[in-house]
Amino acid sequence: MTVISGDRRGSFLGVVDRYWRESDYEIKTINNDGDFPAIYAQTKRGFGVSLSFGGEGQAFFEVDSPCVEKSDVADSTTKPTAPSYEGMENIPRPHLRSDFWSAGAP
Amino acid sequence: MSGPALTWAKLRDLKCAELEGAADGWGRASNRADFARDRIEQQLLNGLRESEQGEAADAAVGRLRQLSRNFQYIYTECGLLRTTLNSLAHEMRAQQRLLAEALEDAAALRFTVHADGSVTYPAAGEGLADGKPVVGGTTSGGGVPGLAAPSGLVAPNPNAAKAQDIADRVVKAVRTAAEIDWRYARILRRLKAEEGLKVPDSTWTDAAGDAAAVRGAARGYLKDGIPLDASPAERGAWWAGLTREQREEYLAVYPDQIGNLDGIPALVRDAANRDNLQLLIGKLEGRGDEVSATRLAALREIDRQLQAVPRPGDPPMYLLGIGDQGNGRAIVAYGNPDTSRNVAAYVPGLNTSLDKDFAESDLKRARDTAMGARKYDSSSASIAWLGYDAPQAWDGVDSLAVMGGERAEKGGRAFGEFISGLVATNERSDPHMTAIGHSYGSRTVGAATQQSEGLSGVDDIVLVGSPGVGVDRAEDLGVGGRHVFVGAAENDMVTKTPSALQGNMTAAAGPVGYVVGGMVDQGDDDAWFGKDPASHAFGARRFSVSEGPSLLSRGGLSFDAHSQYFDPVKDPSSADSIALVVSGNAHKLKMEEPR
Repeated sequence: MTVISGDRRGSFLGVVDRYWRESDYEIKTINNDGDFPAIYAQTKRGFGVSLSFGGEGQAFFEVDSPCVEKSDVADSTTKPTAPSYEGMENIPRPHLRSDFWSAGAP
Repeated sequence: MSGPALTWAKLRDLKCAELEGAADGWGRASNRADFARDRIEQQLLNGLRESEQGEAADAAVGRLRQLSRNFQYIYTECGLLRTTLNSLAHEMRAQQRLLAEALEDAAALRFTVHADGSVTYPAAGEGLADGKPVVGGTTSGGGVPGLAAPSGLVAPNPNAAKAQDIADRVVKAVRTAAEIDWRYARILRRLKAEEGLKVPDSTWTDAAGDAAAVRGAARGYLKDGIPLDASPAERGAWWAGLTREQREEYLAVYPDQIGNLDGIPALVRDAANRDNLQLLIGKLEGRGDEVSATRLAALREIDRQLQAVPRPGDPPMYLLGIGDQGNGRAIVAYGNPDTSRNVAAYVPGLNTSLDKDFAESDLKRARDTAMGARKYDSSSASIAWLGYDAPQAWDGVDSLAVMGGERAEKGGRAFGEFISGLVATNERSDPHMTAIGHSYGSRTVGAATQQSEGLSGVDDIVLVGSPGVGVDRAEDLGVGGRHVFVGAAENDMVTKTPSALQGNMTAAAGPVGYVVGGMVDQGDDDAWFGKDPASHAFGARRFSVSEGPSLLSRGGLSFDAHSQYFDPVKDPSSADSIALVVSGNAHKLKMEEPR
C-alpha cells in the first residue's frame, strides 16, 4: 500500500470529493482534520461511499450497498494481487513510496 | 479407605502424602489433556482449515473437534479428581492433627489409649475417707457420659475428667474422618466417564454436576482462599502470588469464580471461561425450558465465534465473563485489554439479555468498535459488557418509565468494579480507557460515575441512543465535559424527551401512546433520566450520526434508528467518530453543533 503523506491527503480527498459531487453523490459528513480527514457520501441509489484516513496515513475506501438482507457470501476465489497477510492480527500500515503521493512523509 | 471400620490407629498411620501424590498424577494427566486440546485447536485444526477443502477435510475437522472436546473433558475431570484428592488429604490432615494432639496429651499424662479408643488412667488424688489416691480406671469417649453422676460423697480421680476429654477427642477425630471418607468416596465414585470413547452431551451435563460436587467438598480447601471481598488490584496481587499448581486447581474447580473475577488477567479469565462455557452448555443441555433454550442458543453462538479461525486483520476474541445468573452474563473482548493501550467497554441497554441477538448484534458492536479503533491505533481493544440485568420489556420505551434507575445503580457498581479490574490488569504505562453506554446502558454508565470513587481510570465517555444518564451536566460525569461524546439519531425515539415522544407515539401508534405524569418539562430538554445528553444545556460534545429510519416505516413501527450507531455500514461516520474517541483521538473529531 502506498504512503499518502500528510501534505497530500488534502489533495487526494479533493480529487475524490470533486468527482463525487460531479456524480451527484450527496456528501453527508466530513471530518475536517489534517491527520484523519474523511468524507462520507451517499449515491442517488442509496449506496454509502466513504474515504477516510486512519493511522500512519492509511486510506480506507469503502462502499456499502443499501437494503440488503444479511446472507452468507462465499469468499472471493480471485487470488489477491497483494499480500493477504495470512494469520496476522494487524495488517501492516502503508509502506510503498510514491514520488508524488508520499512527498513530505517521514 | 472403605471396608472395615476406621480406627484411630488407621487414621494416625494414614499417609496423606500418598493421596497428594495421586492428586499430582491426575494433575499431570489433566495438563497433558489440556496441552493436547491446545495442539488440536491451534495447530491441526487451523492448518487443516487453511490448506484443505472438501468433504474429507470437513469430516476430518469434525472428528478433530470431537477429539478436542474429549480432551477437554479429560482435562476437566482429571482436574476435578486432582482437587478432590488434594481436598481429601487436606481434610484428613486436620483430623490427623487433632488425633495426634490427643495422643500426645495422653502420653504426657501416662494414660494408655487402647485400640478401641478407650483411655486408661492411673490412680491419683486423695480419697475422702482414707486420703489414699483414688484408684484409676478406664473411660471411653463419645458414649453416654456419666451414667452414674458422681455423688458428693465420692472424691473424683482428677485423671478421670482428663481421660474423658482425651477419649472424646480421639473418637471425634475418628468419626469426623470416617464421615470425610464417606463423603469423598461418594464424590470419587461420581467422577467416572461413560464407557467407550464418546463424550456425549449427557456426559457434559454430568461434568457440570461433578464440578458442583467437588466444589461442595473442596470449599474449605480452595474457595475460602478466593479474595471475593478484596479490591480488583488486591485480587490481581493474590493471583500473582499463587503457585502454578494452585492456579491450575482454582481453574479446574472454580472456572466461574476465577473467570468472572475482576482483577484477574484477561488471558486467565479467558481460559477459565472457555471451560466454563462448555460446562454451562452441558448444564443447560440437561434442561428443557424456554429460558435455558434461549441461553443455550447464545452460548452456542459465542462458542462458534470463539472457534472460528481468525482472518487477517481480525482482532482476537477473549471471553472475560460468562454466567447464567439473572438475565445471563457475558463479557467479550475483541483485542487483548491487558496489552492494548486503548480499551473501550460497552454497556448494552434496554431488552438486552443473554440470547442469540446479544451474541450476534451486541458482540458485533464491540467487534466493530475494536476494528474501527484499530484503524486509527492498532493497539486497541473493545469489550461488550453484559454484567448486569438490563430492563426487559416488549415495549422498550415504555419500560424506561417503569424501571427507573434501580438496575442502573446496581449495574453501575458492577461496571465500576469491572473497569477497576481493567485498570489493574492493563500492562501499559499510559492506558486510555473509554466507557460506552448505549440506550439504558448509558444510564448505567452514568450511575457508575456517581459512586464514591467514580469511574476512575476512564478518560472518555461515549453515550449513544441515551434516554438520559441520571445527571444534568456532562461535567458531572467526572471526566470533564470535553471528554463526554453523544450520538443521538434524529429518529431514535429513546433519545427524545418524554413529551415529544408522547406526541410522536400517540400519532404513530394511537392506543400505544401513554401518559407520563409530571415528566413534561418547560425547556423541553429533559430526558427520562435527567437532561437530554444531546441538549445544549447538558454540555457534551455531540457527533454527527445519520438520522436513521423513521419510526413509522413500511414494516410498521421501527426502532432501527436506535441501533445503528456502531454500524460501520449503516452509519459509517458515527462508527468512525466512536472509533476516534476510543483510539484516543477525540481531538481529531469534527463535531456537529448541539441540538
